This record gives sequence, structure tokens and C-alpha cells, in this order.
Amino acid sequence: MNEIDDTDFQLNHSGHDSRRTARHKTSWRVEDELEQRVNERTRRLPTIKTEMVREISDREHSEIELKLVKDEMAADLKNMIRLHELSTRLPATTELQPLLEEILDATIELLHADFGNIQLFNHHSAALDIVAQRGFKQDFLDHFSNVNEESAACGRAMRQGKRVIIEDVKTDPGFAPHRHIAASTGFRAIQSTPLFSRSGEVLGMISSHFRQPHRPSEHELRFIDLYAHLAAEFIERQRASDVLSASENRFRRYFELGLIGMALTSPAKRFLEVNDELCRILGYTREELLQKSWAELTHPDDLADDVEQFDRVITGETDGYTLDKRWIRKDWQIINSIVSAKSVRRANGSVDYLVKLVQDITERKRAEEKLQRSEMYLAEGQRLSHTASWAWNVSTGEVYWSPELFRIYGLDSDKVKPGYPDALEYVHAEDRARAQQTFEDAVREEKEFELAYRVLLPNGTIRHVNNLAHPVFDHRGIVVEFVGTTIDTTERVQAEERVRQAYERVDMLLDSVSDNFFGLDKEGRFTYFNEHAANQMRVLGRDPDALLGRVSWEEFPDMPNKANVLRVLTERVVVVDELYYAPLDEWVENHMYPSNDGGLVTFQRYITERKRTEEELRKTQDELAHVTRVTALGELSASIAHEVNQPLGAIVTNGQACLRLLACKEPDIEEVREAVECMIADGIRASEVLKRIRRLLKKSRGGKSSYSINENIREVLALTANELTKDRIKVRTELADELPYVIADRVQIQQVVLNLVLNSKEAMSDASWQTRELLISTERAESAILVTITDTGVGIAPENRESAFAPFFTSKEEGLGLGLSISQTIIESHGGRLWNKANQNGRGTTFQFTLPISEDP
Amino acid sequence: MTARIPSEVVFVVDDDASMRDAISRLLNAVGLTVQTFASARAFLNKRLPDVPGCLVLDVRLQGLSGLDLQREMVERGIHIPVVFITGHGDIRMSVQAMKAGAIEFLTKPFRDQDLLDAVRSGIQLDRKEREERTELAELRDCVGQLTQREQEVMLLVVSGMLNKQIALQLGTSEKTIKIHRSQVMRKMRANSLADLVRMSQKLGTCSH
Repeated sequence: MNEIDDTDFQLNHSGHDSRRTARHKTSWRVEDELEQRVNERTRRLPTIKTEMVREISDREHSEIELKLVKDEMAADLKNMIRLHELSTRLPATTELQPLLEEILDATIELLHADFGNIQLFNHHSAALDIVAQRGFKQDFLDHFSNVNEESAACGRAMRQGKRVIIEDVKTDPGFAPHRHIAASTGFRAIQSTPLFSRSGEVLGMISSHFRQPHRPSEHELRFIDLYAHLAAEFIERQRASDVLSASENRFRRYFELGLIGMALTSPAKRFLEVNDELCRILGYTREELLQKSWAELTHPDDLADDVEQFDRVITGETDGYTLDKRWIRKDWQIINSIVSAKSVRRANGSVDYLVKLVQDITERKRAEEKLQRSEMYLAEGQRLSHTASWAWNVSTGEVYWSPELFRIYGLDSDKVKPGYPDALEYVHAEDRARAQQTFEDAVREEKEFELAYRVLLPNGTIRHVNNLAHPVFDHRGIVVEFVGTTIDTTERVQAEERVRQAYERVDMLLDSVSDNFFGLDKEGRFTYFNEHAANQMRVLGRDPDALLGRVSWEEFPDMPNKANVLRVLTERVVVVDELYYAPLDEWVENHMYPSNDGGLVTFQRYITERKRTEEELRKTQDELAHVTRVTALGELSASIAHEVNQPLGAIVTNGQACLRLLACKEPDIEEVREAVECMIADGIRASEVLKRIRRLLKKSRGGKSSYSINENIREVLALTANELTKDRIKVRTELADELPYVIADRVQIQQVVLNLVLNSKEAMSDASWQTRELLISTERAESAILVTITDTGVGIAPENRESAFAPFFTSKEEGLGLGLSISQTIIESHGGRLWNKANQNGRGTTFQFTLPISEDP
Repeated sequence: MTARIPSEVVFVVDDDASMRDAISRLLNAVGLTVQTFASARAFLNKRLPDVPGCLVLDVRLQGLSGLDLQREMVERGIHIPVVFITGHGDIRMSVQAMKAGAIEFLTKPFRDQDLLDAVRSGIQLDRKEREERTELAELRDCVGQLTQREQEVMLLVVSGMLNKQIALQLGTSEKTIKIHRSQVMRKMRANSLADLVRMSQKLGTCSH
């Protein structure tokens, strides 16, 4: 309550200094004031009443007095209510102007003024601008549109920082400059009350103007102060919010302008807000980024650094940081950036969020690197080009050498002073005369020249240089000097020499191999012959040099392997072929490799001799195979005789039956016909047996054909059936239907099957042997046909399993010991495999072989 | 084919169908009834007609061979004369076959007459053996009707002893022996002593 009393005191007694009062208490103080006033008046009422009683005689005066008090009270009450309304509306008000207008109206009414205005301080002009007015004409407004001088009441109040009251403008000396305006407007008195900010600055002015000389009562002025206070508070608040929103707008604009990537990030490293530019830099959408932390997008190598700096911000050690760091874009591209982070803290000092600026410097970085590289290249180029310059004054013989030329010549520029013709002595003796001749010719003919020679350095090494020079003429057209460049070409010359030597070495190498070596380009044109190949061309009556650059298959239309050559050229694969080349009467083997230039190289070797040997070997093998076939047949001879004899026996018997039938009185012709038909069938049967034997005895010509392996097996079983029956061997076959064909020599494969069947028979021939079963099966096994021959015989001792295939290995008394060896040779020459294994149940042996499937159906 | 039981049958066992048919045709041509079999097992499994017959048997057969079948028949008491035929017979095989009782061993191709002769003699043999077996069976029936004493008397009679000697040996009277003797003669349906002796001999060769 003390405070309120103080305030009250100030309100009552401090007059225009009331600006220092605590404004924030406005609202309740107004109510208080109201109450105070009412109480005061109420207290005074009895006194007045007493006076009324005491001065009963002066009733009329008393009544007037009472009415005045009552009026005054009513006015005060009205003002108070109005002020209260305004002050309660203040927090909700956003528009300044209507409020100021309302305050202006309230003050005019309060003071019973005739005119009034409110001015605001303009910082730019440092003057007061009228923002609201009542009753003034244009001339007044124009005159006081911008007030800052001492003369006007408002200007004075602004300068003095306190209220100014001019009771009569005509008597106030300071107001003299404005009297004509006052006169024309029609006012005589003014009060101007400044609107003070919280910090005491003048924000504006409330002025009231009166037609008659007048001074507002203190009581009225206190109300004015309250209104001034209210206005000031509102103005200040409005300004603050303007400033804030302007700053927010600026930030937002900056944020969205897209000059730089920006983000607000949380202390947990997450993105709270990102702008489009950052999205563009990092390649993510806004929604994706807001799901992520900057740490997970940071290049792993830069993360530790960033986190360390970030942690220092979090702990409060620093407020922000700037660093170069790399990001990993969504598309895995690496982005170089400069990142600036600044923290925004809460009142307790903890980090609320961080503002991060991310500048994409990838392009800049790239450009920098490019520039660095090109600078480096340039420097390197200058160093490597070894280009020196010189000038030669023809008339004086004076010579200028650039430092590089001294270096090239291996001379010390401090010790040697070159001149012509002295400089010639550095030229290699063998080139000197030619150089001198060139120089002199150039002088005489006044023309540019190019000259290459060797330089003999003092240390004995030789350098190759090339000179390019042109004459310089004076105004009369006479040659004064030659200006030239000297390029150290030693390395180039040496490199060329090395290349030349390398080529020579390659030539030597290729000439030294005994193969013919050809090079073809991608169009099939001859590019190279080694000496042997060149000789071959000569043998064929062609000039190898003339063939270079010509298309090989056009020059040699009879070239047998053109298809293979094209295959190497187009498919870029290594191809090896063997062919007989009639014009040379030679077999050749070509190894063709694709070469780096898109062409191919061929190593060609004569293999006629090898072919002949191979052919002889094949013949020998065939002979041997034949011998073993004959041997096998020998073993079968008894069975074969039986096979032939059987149909013959039937034929004879049928024939005899026929004779007897015909001898009857009434011959049964139908029966005779049947008998003859049987005889024919048996005759054919006998001849089939003989055919089979003949086929087996035939010498193989190595001709392969496409057929089903089952045919081989059936034929062999037909040949051996009798033999197997004799030994009471039960034969079972599991031959797969619709087996793909093999491509093989039918006779040879038949021999293999025969050998294996006879081996099995042999293994079961012991008289004491009880179980005698032979199983032959065929099946497809991937790209081959698998034939399995299983017997229940004595088996092969494990130690003999390998040697069973060796030539002349035999367990039979009459065997040649070549059966398995030959069989293996045959199968392997067909690209198959033959092997054996013991049966699972430990009884007997299984032989298996494979043959590749024919590509023909 | 008629339901009439033939008077005689030739069995042919050969695994070669055309040979089988040819033989069958030949035998038919001379009026013989033929039954053919593709294997020894098939033959053994078949119930054979109880008439004189002959077996034409191939030596080399799948499964049980011809010689095996011959052996098996002996073991089973099947009395049919066997004519062997073979694609290529060797001596060892033919000796073995003949030893086991074959009546002929023919090598294919054979003369038809040879086969027919062999078959006919086979049938003849079988018929004769069948008659002998029948007669012997009748004799055994008769012997079966004799008492123990009558059998003893008969044995002593056919050994040539006189009634008196027999009575002495058996410890009985001559009169009693006479009665036994007449019973033996009646039961054995013997017409004379010589007849009885012959019967006794026949029984004896078989019972030994």
C-alpha cells in the first residue's frame, strides 16, 4: 500500500514529472485512482454538507457548489472508465493508429480542448511527425508537419523532455514564429505532453490546443499523463514487435533465399528446419532431412572434427564454429562445404538450437583443383619443354642467350660470354659446318630457318637441339638480328631411338621364331610379316612388301580359315585352327590372338610332319584295334557258329519237312508255304549274323556317325547271347529310351562294348560261380551318355584296378591283354572316359564309359 | 487239335523258335503228334499225357540246359526216351548224354530220316518199357496177395527144391507144402512151374 500511496503522491504532486511513474502498473493504478478519487470526494461530502448547513442562508451557492462537485466527480468517473477501457484493450490491440486516434479524442474531451494532435518522433528526420489530429486545417498541418525547433510547444517539450504549457500564444515570446498559424487556425493556448519510452526517450507528443488562453488544471494534467503513458507504452510495444517481426522476416527471407544452405539443428544433432538450398546440396527432400541427423550425412573422415566442435558448443565452451567438412549426398556424391554453426541458448544457458549455414564449395573446390592442376601442368610443361630463347645481332656478332640456353649447353652464364661465331664451337664437330652454312645462308637470304644439331657439352655428353629463328628488320628493311628459340630435343630423340631399337628388337625376335608371324588390322589388312612369313609369301609368288595394307582374304581368296580370322576380329577371342593349305601342300596350325589395335596376330606353324605321325599312329592303333577285335571274335567263334548254325538247322529241317509234305497224296500246300516262309526268314537271320561279324572284322576307317549307343549294345548282346547262355549268365538291360545320339565310330564303340561284355563273362566263368548276372544300362549324364556294365564276377583286385587298363595286362590265359587298353584309347579319342570300380556289395565289377552327345538330334 | 488222346506223342524242347517249329512241322508231316516247349522248366511243369512218347531235346538251353533236364527227369522218375539235338556237339557232351540214357545225339542240321528213326525207336522203346512196367506191376500185385508163408514157399519152389525138401526146411509136412504151392500157382496165375520161375526172375531183376 505504501507503493500505491507513493504513486498517489506523485500523481498528486509531481505534476508533469509524472513520466517517471511506474507504467507497468497503469491498469490497476487507474482503478485505484478511481477509488481514491471517489473516496476523497466522498470524504469531502460531509464537509460540504456541514458547510451547507452552516451556511444555510447561502443555499443557492451551496447547491451550485454541490452540483460542481458532482459534475466534476461524474467527469472524473467518466474519464477513469474510459482510461480503464483503453488500458484493458491495450494488450489485445495490434493496430497503433486507431488507438492513438482514440487517445487523442479522449484527451481533447478531457481537457475540453478545441484542437489536438499526436506526433511521433521520426528518427530519420529527428523531428516530430503528426500522425493524428483534430480540427486543424491544412496550413497548420503543413507548418507543423515536421517539428523539432524550440519555438513550437511540442518542439520545446521534446527538447526539454517535459510538458510545455503555453497559456497564451500571443504573450509567449518563444512562440512568435508560429503566431500567424495560431491566429489563422484560431487557437491561443497549447499544452504539449511528451510520450516517453521506458528508457526515457521521447517517442512522441500529445498536444491540445485551446481557442482561448487557458491552462489545464493539475487534475486534468494528471489524466493527460496517464493517457500519454498509455500511448507511449503502446507505441513502444508496437515498435518492438515491428522490430522483431522485421528481424524474423529478414531471417526467413535469408533462410529461403537459397544463397546458402541453412538449417536449424537440435542439440541431438537432428535437423529441425532446413531450407531448399540445403536440400539441394544434400540431395534429400525436406521430409527426408527432418528424419535425419547431420552426423549420419557427414563424411566419416570429417565427423570426429565436427562432433568435437559441436560438443564444445553444447558444453558452453564456445558459441559456434566454422569448419570445412564433407557431406555424403543421397546419391553418394561427396560434397565439400564450409559449415558455420551458431548456437541459440535458452535463459539457463543450455543450447536451444543451432543455426547452421552450409555453403557448397564442391564446385569451387573442383575449380580450385583444376586451376592448381593446370598451373602445375603449365609449370611442368615449361620445365619439360626445355625451350630457350636467343637473339643474334648479325652486324656485331653479339649474342643474347636466355638462362635456359646456358643450361641446355651446360655452360655457366657468369663465366661464358657467348658470341658468333664462337658459339659454333659448342656445336658437335660433325654438325658444325652444316650449322654454320645454315646460319650464313639465313643471313644472306634474310629468311627464317630451322636447324637441328647436336651440342657437345663440356662434360662430354651430347644434347640434341632444334633451332627455329626468324630475322628482325629495321625501318630501312635491313636485317639487324635473328631471334630464335632453341628446344632441347635430346629426350625426344633418345625416346625415338629407343622406340626404333624396340621395333628392331621386336623384328629380330619375330624373325628369330621359326613360326610364320602375320599381323592383320581390324579390316583384315596385312600389317606385318616376319622374315619367315615374308618368305612364305615369296614362295607363293607374292611380294610381301606389296601385300602390306592389302586385305588378306581378297589377296588370298582360297584362304581356308577366313571364318576363324573374322571370328578373332569380331569376337576378340583366341582361336587355334589346323588346316591343309593346298598351294603349299602343307598342314598348318594357326594361333590367332586379338591385338590391341583391334586387329590380330597369327603365329603359323607347319605341322605336316606331325600330322603324318599322328596319322601313322592312328593307323597303328586301328590295326591293333582290329587285331583285338579278331581275337575277341576268335573267343566267340563257337558262339558265332552256333548262331549261324541255328537258322541253318531250321532251314534244313523245314526243307525236309517240305519234301515230305509234298510227297503226300494230297500235299498240305498251306503248311508247305509256311515252311518256306520260315526258311526264308532263317536264311535272312543267318546272313544277319554274318553281317554283324563282318562289321566287327572290318577295319575302321575312323568315320564317325550319329547314332544311338543302344544299337551298339543290342548288337553286341546278339553276338554274345549264345556265349553268355552257355555260361548260364543272366543278362539284364536298362537302356534309356529316346537317348540322345552319340557321334562316334560305330565299329570302335562296338568293340569297346564287346570287350567289356567278354571281360564280364570271363569274370563269371568259373565253374563254381553261382550268381551270374550281367547288367548293361545306358543313361544321359549331362552332356554325355553314360554306359554302365556291371557283372557279379570275381572282380578286379584293388591293386590291379589301375593296371587293368595297361597294355598287355591280362588275367586270362588266352588274352592278349589289350582289350581294356584299346578300349580306353578308343573312348578317350572320342572325348569320353572309361573307368571301373568295385561293386557296392563287394561282388563283381562295374565298368563305365561316357561319350559326348552329338549336337545333331 | 482234337480231344482224342493220341496213341503216341513227341515232345520238343528247344529255345530257338524257328528250329522248334521246323521239327514240329517235320514230325507232323509223318503223322506224329508233337508238343513243343521253349524251355526245360516249361516241360517239367507240364502234366504229360500217359502215352508212349519220345523227347527231342536241345542241349543248349537258356536256364536249365538239356543235360540238366535229362538228369532231373531221372531223379523224378520220368521215363521218356531222349533224342538230343545240338548246334555243335562235341564228343564229351555226346558221351555224357548217351551215358545218361539218350537214345540218339544229332547235330544240326540233321537228316530228317535220322531224327524220325530216332524218334520212332524212342517211342518203340517207351512202349516196350511201358508194357514191361505194366506186367511187373501185375506180378507185384499177385505177389502182394501171397501170405508170408506162401512167399517163402514160392522162393524155395523156384530155386528148384522138392516139396519134401521144402517141408523139411520149413519144419512142416509135405502135404501142407503142397497146399501152399497150389495157392501160389493160383494166386500168381502161373500155368506151370516154368512160368512161375520166369515170373520170379522178372520180379527178382527189378527188386534187386
